[in-house]
Amino acid sequence: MLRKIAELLCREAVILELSSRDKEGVILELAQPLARAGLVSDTDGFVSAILRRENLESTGVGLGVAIPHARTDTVSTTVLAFGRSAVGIDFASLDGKPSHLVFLIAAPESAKRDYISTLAKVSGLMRRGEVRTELNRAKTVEEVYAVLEQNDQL
Amino acid sequence: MLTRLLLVVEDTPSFATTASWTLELARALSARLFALCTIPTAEAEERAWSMLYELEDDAFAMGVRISLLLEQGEAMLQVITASNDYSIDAVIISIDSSIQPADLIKRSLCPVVVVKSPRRCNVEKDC
Repeated sequence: MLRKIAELLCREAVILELSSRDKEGVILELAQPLARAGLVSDTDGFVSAILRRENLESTGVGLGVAIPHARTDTVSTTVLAFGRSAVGIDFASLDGKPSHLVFLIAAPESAKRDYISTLAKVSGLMRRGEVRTELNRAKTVEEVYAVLEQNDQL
Repeated sequence: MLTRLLLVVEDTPSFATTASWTLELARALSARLFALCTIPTAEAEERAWSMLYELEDDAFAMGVRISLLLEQGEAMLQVITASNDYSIDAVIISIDSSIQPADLIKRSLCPVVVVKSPRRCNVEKDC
């Protein structure tokens, strides 16, 4: 059964103000806490998998949101990290705008269905203007969780 | 030169064939693929994203560059708008698309490819 976004999100990997200013840095910044939490077995392999996909297609979905993602066996379950950037990161979005909200999603190679469903769920949620506004306004990690829990209906 | 292809993504019986054919074409041409799914209401959004990400996963496996587009509204209008916005060289739709191919051909500013599902020819019946 598909888990809720808030259940997949790693608390240690919620970063309210990303320090990186480019997408490679942001991906590494979000990958490191996942690794520290024991969810990523090989940080370099994980980052490479995300960047391989990123190099082929932009995961900047527009509306100030980017969703870098990959299937990789450096994780054993679907994992999710979230970062926010006030200045915005260039994820080469089709609308040309920088990304302020970044969701990093990874799942094992074998978990295609779960992976697609999680991507679809996060993408759908991020198209809602009120959810983006609430996430941008959240002052604490708990508030980020609260926004996701309130808006993620199974 | 066809370098930018727009695939109309729809939940129809022929779509899987159209998607495979389009990915092969994009790979052969080293073209960038734009996948557009238009939904009538927000309720259809999650299914639409699932279809787009399924396609993206297949494109990634084949080394095809792809951009996903999800729009709400009237399908024909969204196709015409996207074709213009992204300087599309050809639009690809399934034979069973909700968009009438003849109407799209008339209104489109670029060539339209209509993909028909292959079927076995019954020589006695069909020829």
